[in-house]
Amino acid sequence: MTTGEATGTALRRGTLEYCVLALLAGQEMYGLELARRLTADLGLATSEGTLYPILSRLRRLGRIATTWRESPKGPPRRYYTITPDGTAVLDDFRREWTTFRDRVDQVMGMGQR
Amino acid sequence: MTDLGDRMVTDYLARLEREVADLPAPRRQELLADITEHIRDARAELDPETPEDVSAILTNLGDPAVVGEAAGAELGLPQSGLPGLGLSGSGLSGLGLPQPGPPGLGLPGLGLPEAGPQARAPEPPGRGLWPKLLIGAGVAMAAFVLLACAGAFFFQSSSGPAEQQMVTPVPATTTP
Repeated sequence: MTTGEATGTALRRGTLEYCVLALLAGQEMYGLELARRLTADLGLATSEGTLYPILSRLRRLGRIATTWRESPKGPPRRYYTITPDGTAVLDDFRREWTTFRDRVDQVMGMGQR
Repeated sequence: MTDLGDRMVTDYLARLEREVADLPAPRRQELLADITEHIRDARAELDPETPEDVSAILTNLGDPAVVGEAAGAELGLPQSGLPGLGLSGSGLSGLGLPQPGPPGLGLPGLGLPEAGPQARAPEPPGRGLWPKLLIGAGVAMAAFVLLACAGAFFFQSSSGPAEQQMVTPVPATTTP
């Protein structure tokens, strides 16, 4: 693993669960759909399988919930939705992230001074 | 679905099950169910399905070792991989091989002598007993001598005046 890859992994580790919450705040998704969105579309995860332990933890913490829905193709799918507790956690993260990002940008010389 | 695709999925899930053997049973079963569901949904989108499609699904899921490591990390389990061998701790335990111990505690699984600050050769039986016996005997001897001296002194001091009184000549009294 190169230094750049290691940095990316460390940054994703701390933020991926909030990206999951943010995506689910926009719309409910089934596991495959969420995994593809985070990996192939956004490049926020390197492999789809590593997402499921995060979903499991968020479920246990009550930040997301699941419901089964009929699928237009194939067997019923389990859809993930964000809970009110998850929404509150996401709001807290958004505030913290904005402050944190601005400070890092300032230190890195990338933001407006 | 194809037979080859089924076999590839079965092999993948079997490898994943080995990788997560150290997880608590509820977490292990949950992860396997989630991954099985993911594969099933992905295969349901394929029409017709080819082995290459199934292979792509499994590749996108990630190596079972990587998925297992992510699951362990989520639970805060130590990641005890063996650098250079590509073996994880869970993989080793699944094979029933001895686990590498912490530094300084030697390699008990290989039967090698322990090395490190805590390692020491066992003392032969009775080796540490003689100094204690000698010290005890010395203390007992000193106590005996002290008691003997004290006893002699006490005897002498208590019997001295009586003897003195006995030997003191009593002046004879004569009556005129």
